[in-house]
Amino acid sequence: MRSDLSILEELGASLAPAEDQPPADVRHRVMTGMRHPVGRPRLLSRLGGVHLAWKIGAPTVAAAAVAAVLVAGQPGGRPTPAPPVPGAGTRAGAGAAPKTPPGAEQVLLLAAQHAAATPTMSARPNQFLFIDSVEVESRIDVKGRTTVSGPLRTRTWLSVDGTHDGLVTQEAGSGKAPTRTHLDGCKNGRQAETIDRPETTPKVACTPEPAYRPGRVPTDADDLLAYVYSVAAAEPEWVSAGAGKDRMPTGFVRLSDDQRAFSEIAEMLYKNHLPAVQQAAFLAASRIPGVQLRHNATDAAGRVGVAVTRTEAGARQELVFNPTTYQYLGHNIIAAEFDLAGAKVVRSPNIGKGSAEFWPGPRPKPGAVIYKSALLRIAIVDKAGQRPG
Amino acid sequence: MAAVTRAAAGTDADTDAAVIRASLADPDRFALIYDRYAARLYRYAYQRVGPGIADDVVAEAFLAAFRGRASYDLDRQDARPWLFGILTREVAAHQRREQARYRALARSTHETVQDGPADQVAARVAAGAARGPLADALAGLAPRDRDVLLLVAWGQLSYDEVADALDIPPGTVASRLNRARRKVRKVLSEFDPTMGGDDEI
Repeated sequence: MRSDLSILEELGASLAPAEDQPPADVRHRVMTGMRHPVGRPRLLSRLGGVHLAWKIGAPTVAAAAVAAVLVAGQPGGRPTPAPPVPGAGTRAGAGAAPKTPPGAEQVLLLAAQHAAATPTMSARPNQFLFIDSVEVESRIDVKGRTTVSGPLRTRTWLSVDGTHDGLVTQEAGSGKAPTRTHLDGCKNGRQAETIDRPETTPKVACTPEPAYRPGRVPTDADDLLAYVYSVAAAEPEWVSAGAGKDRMPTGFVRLSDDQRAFSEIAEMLYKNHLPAVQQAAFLAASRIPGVQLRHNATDAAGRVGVAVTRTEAGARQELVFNPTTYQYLGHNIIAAEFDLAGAKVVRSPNIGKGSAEFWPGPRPKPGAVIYKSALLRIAIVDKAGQRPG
Repeated sequence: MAAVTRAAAGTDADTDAAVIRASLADPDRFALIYDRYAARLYRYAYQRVGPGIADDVVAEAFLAAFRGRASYDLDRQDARPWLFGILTREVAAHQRREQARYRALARSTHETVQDGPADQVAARVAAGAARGPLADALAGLAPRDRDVLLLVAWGQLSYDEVADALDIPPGTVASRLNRARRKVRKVLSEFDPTMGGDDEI
């Protein structure tokens, strides 16, 4: 009697390709994809991440070694959010968890008031939110020397309703052509899996992320808080705990959900400028345990402001505000002490979901700039690439 | 980077784990992983989703592997199960296409002339005729069961490697495989009672 497996193998053999190797252009695609920015469908995801992730495998990386955010290989859009699990003590009177110092909470409440008083611009679904900003980012070479580049003028066009193709352009510095990154819109529930080759990559399921319309991001502070915690739980992030003599990671530490939620809010503040969303985001941030106040923080445009910060795993996330009007100015990531005492270090993060950040060289010294992004203006325009008058 | 290259030039310099390690600091090294496994991944993807789509699936699987290489478990010298796991997720995005491929195969009839010893020809003709019902059975399997069955039958992975690739316990591999094989055998025995037996060991 013949085995079902051997019959199945024969069927497999009859379905096999005539050639052993895939077509040459597949190799070319892979090699090109390794050298060129490859991002995830979620525009500007991972804040510091996005921008750094775009630069993965860029020609300079091999020589200069930047802090590369390596996005795990899970295709598809954001997983269905898990039930919200905000950290204990995020609501008033919830008990022993660290309470927000009045200063930070007050600044966030004032920022929420400023957002509430900001008029909503009129925007049609097929228009674009134009975001004019500057970015500063650091590269660290294998000897630990940090080079800060920028401020680089960055212009972003995001689809008002999330279904149209957007664009990011960034000045590349002396004599170099600006980089242009196409952002595939979520059309009919599908979008290109990678942002660099929308024509040739398979489409994956997606949910539109409107940049200036009510959508998946709640405009209620409680709901928004639950939302960012659900994202934190669904998309964990690891940071390399250090590098050995061979400059390979010695282990990874998972960021707390509180830290992920805080950085998710920073990302949201860039991607969604609906005043109601911004107001809810500031109120939600005020309920995340462990936020602190910092005076005299400088944004990427050189403006001095007051910052609400949260520090963990060698990085201080800062939301910077105008110290008199409490208008939101931008987001900084500053290197901090990395205290591994009591941290759970794993050899490899769990692949399949989330992302891991890895420093090929020594970690930057506390106080060094890792990344800064400052908002200069926003406007509504008709086309991606069009500048407001 | 030269220092990294030298550091990796030790005795285990050419294991997959060593290459992936080196590729963290020197991304171009990852090309070697492609060259080692592209043929095997391509064959498997082509079998499951057919021409055209196979190109996309293989390219995306390698790029996903490249982006996720920091989380590769460096204790595993052989990257094949890891790559097949990523490939399986890419294939999953084309499930409808795959099912349509099997169904089309089930509908088509084949007249093939075979050379070789008479008993082998007879067996091949019988197996050829069984392709239709077999393809139909594959199309009807639960995706999780089909993944396990085809990683074993077409991907040539061991049970442990399948467990590794799909990140499931070996016991789950065994139960999914058994369930899939029961369905396949049922279809085969309905078609020809001499077919679809157990492995003769």
